[in-house]
Amino acid sequence: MTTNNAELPRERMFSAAVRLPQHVVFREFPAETVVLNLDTGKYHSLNPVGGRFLQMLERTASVGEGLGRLQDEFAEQDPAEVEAALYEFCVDLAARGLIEVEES
Amino acid sequence: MRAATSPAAAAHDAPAPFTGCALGMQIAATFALAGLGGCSQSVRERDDRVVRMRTIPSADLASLWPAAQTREVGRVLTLAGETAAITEHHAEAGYLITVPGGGHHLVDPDGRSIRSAVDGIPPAWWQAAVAAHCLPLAATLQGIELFHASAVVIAGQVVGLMGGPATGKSTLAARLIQLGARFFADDMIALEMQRRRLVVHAGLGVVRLGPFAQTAVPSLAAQGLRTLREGDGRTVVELNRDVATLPLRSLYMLRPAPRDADAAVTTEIPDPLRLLSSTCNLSVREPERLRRQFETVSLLGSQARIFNARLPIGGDRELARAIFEHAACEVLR
Repeated sequence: MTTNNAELPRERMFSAAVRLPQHVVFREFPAETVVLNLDTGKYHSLNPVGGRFLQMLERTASVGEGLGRLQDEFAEQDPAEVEAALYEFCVDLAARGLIEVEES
Repeated sequence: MRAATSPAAAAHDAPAPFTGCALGMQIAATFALAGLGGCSQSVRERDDRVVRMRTIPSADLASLWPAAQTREVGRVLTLAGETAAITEHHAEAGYLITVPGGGHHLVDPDGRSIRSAVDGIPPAWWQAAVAAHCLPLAATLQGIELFHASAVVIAGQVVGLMGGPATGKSTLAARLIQLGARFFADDMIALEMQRRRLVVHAGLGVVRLGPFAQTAVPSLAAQGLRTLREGDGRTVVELNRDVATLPLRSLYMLRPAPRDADAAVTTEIPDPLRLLSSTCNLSVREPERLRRQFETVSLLGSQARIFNARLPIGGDRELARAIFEHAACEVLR
């Protein structure tokens, strides 16, 4: 089931997979990642951490798997904070129509 | 303009004896367009990159533009807030560009035809409108991305000078030409991806010089300069320009500075949103175009060496020397 429901509870979010719709593209620049919604023509800028989150979500089978890898990557950060940040990130992007959340 | 009851057929087969290239397109015109120069090999090989330009009576153009289902998609304003051009769009008819004092111009949806209704308007005025608005739109519709920048050639590679209106792009280009660079484009550069590499196509060989650059006019005569018109504090000149399609090596982002500041060139981290806002024809917003525009900006950020160029008031000579030396060193890297 695919949803852009920004109110998806945390447990369901982390067991879900995330994919970029066909009308969304992103490119990395030295200081930021820019996401373009081809349907709306709007650009969204992500800081380097957000850019890394997006790259990881695109490559992993589930948000939870991406979380594990990001917690390893940002080992100096509190794992709970990384989890909270990733959850908020997914909620925000889903609300903007930039990702689709697929629950298994 | 409203459609008549029986639309007139366009004279697509009218002879177009004035030919040349600019902005990556082969151009065939029924009138002598200032600054139209020779073609690079890569542009000559593209049969799909052709635009035919002709003048037609206003009544004929009115019959070609539909009365309904049109919408305004763009409006260009002067620094004084006056309307410089209005662009309307119709899905089948294309784009109608209205330039106060510069005529009405119909650009076909694929950008391969420009028909201009310019009854009674001096050629210098309406041709300026064609160069500033119609040709760039045609190029965009044919898959070429244009950016607000002037460009010169230093050591065989294109150096771009990017900035907003009246930031000194043309003046700096004139100063660089005085120092030994070759003219390549004024006010707009045409970028295209060729096998994942960005190349730049030469623009029309016309430069609009503001008050600060008037002293450059005599020394530019050696580059085949011909003065087209003067007025409103500006001199429009026609220059011989490099006809090649070349790689873009460096881009200098012009930033105005106070008179007492030093002209300087420093490293700049590419700002994608600034690069995006420097593109032309933002009214063309089909997904395919947006994707191409985005990809071009991405390549620009990764392939061109981008620098910050601080331009104090009256410091164009100083900055030109700094850029010339800096660019020459960069080319050697």
